Amino acid sequence: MFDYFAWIAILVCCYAMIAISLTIQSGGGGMINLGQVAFVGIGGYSVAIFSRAGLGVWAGLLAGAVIAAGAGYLLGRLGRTLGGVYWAITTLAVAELLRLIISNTDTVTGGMQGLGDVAPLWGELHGTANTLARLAMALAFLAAVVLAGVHLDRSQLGRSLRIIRENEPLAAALGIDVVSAKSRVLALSGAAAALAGGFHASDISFVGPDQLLPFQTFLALTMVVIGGLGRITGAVVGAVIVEAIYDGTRFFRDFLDLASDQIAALRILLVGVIMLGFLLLRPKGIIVDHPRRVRV
Amino acid sequence: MITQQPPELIADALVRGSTIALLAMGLTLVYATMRFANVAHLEFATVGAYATISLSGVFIVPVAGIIGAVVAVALGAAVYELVFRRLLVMGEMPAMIGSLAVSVVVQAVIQLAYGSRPRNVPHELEQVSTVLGADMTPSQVQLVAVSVSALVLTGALLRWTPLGRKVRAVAANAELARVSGVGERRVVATVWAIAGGLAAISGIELALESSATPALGFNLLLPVFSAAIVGGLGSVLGAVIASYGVALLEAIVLALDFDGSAIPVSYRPAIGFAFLILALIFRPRGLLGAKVRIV
Repeated sequence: MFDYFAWIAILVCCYAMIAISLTIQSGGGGMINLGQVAFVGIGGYSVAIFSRAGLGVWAGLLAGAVIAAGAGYLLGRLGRTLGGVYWAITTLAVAELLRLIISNTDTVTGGMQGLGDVAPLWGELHGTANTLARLAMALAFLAAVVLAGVHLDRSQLGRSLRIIRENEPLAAALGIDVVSAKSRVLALSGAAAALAGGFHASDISFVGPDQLLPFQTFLALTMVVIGGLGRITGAVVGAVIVEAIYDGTRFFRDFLDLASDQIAALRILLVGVIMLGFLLLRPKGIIVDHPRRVRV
Repeated sequence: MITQQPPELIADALVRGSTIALLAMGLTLVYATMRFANVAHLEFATVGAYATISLSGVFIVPVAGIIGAVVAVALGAAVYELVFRRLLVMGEMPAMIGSLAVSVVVQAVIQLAYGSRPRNVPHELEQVSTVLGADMTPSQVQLVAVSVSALVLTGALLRWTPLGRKVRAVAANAELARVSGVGERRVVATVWAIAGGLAAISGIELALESSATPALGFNLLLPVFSAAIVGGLGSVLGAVIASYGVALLEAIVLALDFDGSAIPVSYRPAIGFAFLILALIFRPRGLLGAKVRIV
């Protein structure tokens, strides 16, 4: 039982990091990214590839974060002034393209089988000590991302992003470099998501193309919407709620007479219904992002 | 080197392009009149396909297909009244996120009811026949014939009937259309029904030609959005041309052969994505042209 709760708690930490990485761009920058899972994948695969090549997990984690940040910055530059719909579809296309390439390059990424035997971040431990170490590590990673997110929220970049979200022409007229602000937040967001992906890959010692399905981004987006777009605390609260519902309902199979794909569908259905319910009844989420007075 | 003959390539592009064009035309019509990029549009195809498969035991296939399309459109109308009408008031992005949620819910419900294994309409093995130099099965010929007729009919409806004129008026400027006495609500309802019907036909024909899975529609999301965006969101003719264009490009790229090493078929969707990404990079606001330019 303890292991089950620890497992869910670690997953909550990973998803909370991804949700924060999403909320700083969609809430902050007003961009809806449907392909955030691509950054998670970059992090996961670089940890797996580095670890299997004997170059060390931490080096892989760092490399993943750097590559994802670069990819995010580039995406922001290329996306330039893409309107909301175009931006959302482009990000989805980029993520799906990455998933296709990963599924088809057997030599480097293991193709559909994925990569196993990823070394743990914390050396070899056993039993309860191992579970506790992983949990502590997950919380430490989450804390680092939360601190970075809060710092961003209060920084000049964070303020610029909020103005861009509310009124992009106004932001441009105020002298804010819109493309630069968006690119920089995408780089940060990419690095945060890559950390989450890298940590997860090392934690479960496996990475595979099924972790890059668009539904993963939808899951993180649901957390962001439920928690309240643009709020760091909201993303964490959303991650706890959605993850408890999504992975806490695995035991349904014990007393429901359904095939495993139907149980999976039922859990997905729950998440989708909750997302729709919030969008219709409480579109600003649990923790509303009110306009705030800032000291400059 | 290209390994396939031109007739084969064209037949391949016609089958694939017709499926995409039916969906892209509806998507672009809905965007033109409501400023709504409906991700759940693809689910009309899935619902139509599954309704037809369920009914094919009771009715003969054409009747089952018609009822299946009606079921899809009716469900679409219900979802519009319950969900999208309210989300569209909030803005373009909440509506798009909401439509993604609807899409996820519809797929989950179908998988819950039917399981994830492919389902099809029981039929006998088909004899491949040669049409204009290309090998095609009768159901592929039927798919192309039905789709092209539906596309032409819709195009004629938009071009030459009073209803079509109203649709184009709303698309051009909803406010001006309203003050000129065009009933916007009725136009929007009609467009919604036409778009849903076209998508359902596409899904039904696809299921008859091969089989249906819960992700039947969602798997077409990116090719369809590519076609609609490359054609210029809101432009019906552009969407149709781009659909066949993307399909032809896919056929040609997959037929390429570099000294024995061909591009694997699993990369098929990637061609559409790459096409879309390039188009967006070089024409950031779509092919409709830039409304605002930063100097």
